[in-house]
Amino acid sequence: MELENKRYKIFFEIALVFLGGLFLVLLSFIVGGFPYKGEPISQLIWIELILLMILLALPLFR
Amino acid sequence: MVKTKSVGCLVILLLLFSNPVVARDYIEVWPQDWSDVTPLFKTSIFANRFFVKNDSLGASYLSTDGLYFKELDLVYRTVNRQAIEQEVVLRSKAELHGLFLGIDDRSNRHVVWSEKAENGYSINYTHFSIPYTDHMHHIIYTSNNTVQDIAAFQENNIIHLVWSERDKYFQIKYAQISNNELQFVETVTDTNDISVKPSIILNDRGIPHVFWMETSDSQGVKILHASRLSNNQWSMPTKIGLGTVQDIKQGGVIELARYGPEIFALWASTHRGGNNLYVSLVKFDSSGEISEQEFLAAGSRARFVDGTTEPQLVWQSDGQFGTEIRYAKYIDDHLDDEINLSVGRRGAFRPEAYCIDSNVYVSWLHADPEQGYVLHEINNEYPKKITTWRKVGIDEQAPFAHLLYVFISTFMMAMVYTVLNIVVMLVGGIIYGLVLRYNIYAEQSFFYRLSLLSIILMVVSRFPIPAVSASFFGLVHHGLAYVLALIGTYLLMRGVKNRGAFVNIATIIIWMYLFQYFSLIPEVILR
Repeated sequence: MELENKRYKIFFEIALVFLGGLFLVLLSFIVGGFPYKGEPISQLIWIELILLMILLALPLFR
Repeated sequence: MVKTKSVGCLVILLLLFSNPVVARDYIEVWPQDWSDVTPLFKTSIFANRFFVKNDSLGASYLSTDGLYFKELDLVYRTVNRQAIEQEVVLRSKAELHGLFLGIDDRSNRHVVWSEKAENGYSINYTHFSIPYTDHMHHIIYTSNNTVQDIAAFQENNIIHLVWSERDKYFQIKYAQISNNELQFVETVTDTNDISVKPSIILNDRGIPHVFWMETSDSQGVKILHASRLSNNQWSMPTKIGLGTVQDIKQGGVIELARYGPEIFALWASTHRGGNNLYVSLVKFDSSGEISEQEFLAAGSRARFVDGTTEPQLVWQSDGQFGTEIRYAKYIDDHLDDEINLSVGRRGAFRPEAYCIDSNVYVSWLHADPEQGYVLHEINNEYPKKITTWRKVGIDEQAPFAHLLYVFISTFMMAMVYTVLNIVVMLVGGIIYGLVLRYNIYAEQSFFYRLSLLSIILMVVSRFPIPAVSASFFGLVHHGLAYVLALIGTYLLMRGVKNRGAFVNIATIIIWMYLFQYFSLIPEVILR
């Protein structure tokens, strides 16, 4: 019974991630309008690199 | 438990196969705050463009209509609230080439067009008032040489006219139309290269500025500029940017507009050695300073919205089902919030736009399934009411069935995208493994390590290695997909105690899968 409950817990967690995420994405469309397909902005790589640097630096200053 | 499963299966079957809830395979995501698209009239694509201008008497359309290029009608129409009020055939059954519509300060309509007849080429002019009573046709210029690409600018009662004429080589000519006559016929260029596609505008001091395209064997297509000097001579041509033969072949022109003391010039050219056309922009300030050529967006045939105080653009760009019409405001040296106005599976092209108060009306052409082309119009004065479901791209007639379709399609596609990113996962995994060799990182919380892993994978996906990514739908959606994948992976993996290599591999795959899943949602909806 406990194993069965654990299985259902995992199933509901997976469903929550997929369906909850889908709901949040659609909600963002309602709030901000349906997004427009375009070219990736050139600064994206720099944003990601800065985030990576911050994450790598964080433990050094703790 | 068996009961729960049975109920679940039954609900899914009902959603999929119930008669009233069969979702369509494609849903139009309507541009928010824009009206329905209204067909106005049938026309042709034999002339380079149609004209639309607005004043207190309504919107005026000038077009060449007909099905055979040697028997075209030059038609003027007045349109009020998307209804045609007046339709006048100004010239019937002729081989028409270029055309121009101007409105003077007394609301008189001025029309200039070029024709080809058996005995050569001619430039023709007429004017009339609204309501229309009659008009006189004036042939103001004839030539045995090829006359093409006429363009004009109206300032009070004078029309400043430019055209390209084959006089051994194609040269740019300038003249003024006043009192039904052509005056000051001047040649702007004197070169062995081919000078075509001229455009003209007057600056805030009333000085004519002419822009054109010049092709040469050695230097490709140059965009040149010259202004008229006080002694009726022309300044030496100055290169302001590069164009492309592709744009000339497709009927592109240099679009000009004046905003305050600045002149803006738009045309299409290729970018970074590629073959795709990009909308290019150059600005002239009042002191004659010329800005660098900017590449605003992929596309061609860009037009400024007529009658606005700030630059607003419409242009055509390649989309999933052919060309689409896009609109954006030009704010702080870039296009702000591009919108696709021509939703649906039909290609739309040749946009023209005007403004009534602060509302924008955009017209374009669709091919008519029967024959010819139909001019359509959209505006943001009378927005179409759209449901919340439609706002997010879900069919309001069968929302749950459509949602199920979106979910299953995205679920399947994300698997394919994850497999295609195997090299990214491999390289990212190796880098992550190397970082974790340092205890300072290995001893951090699971959420920290997961954040580090996900950002490493994002950066690695930019490396020049085989990788596949969903289309980019803006920074907000990209960021949201990243955050949701991160939280989702954390929720699914937080309970796993063993943090060995196998679990790390599973974490990488789950994060990549979830990121692809959330990134692909808008793409699947639009598919």
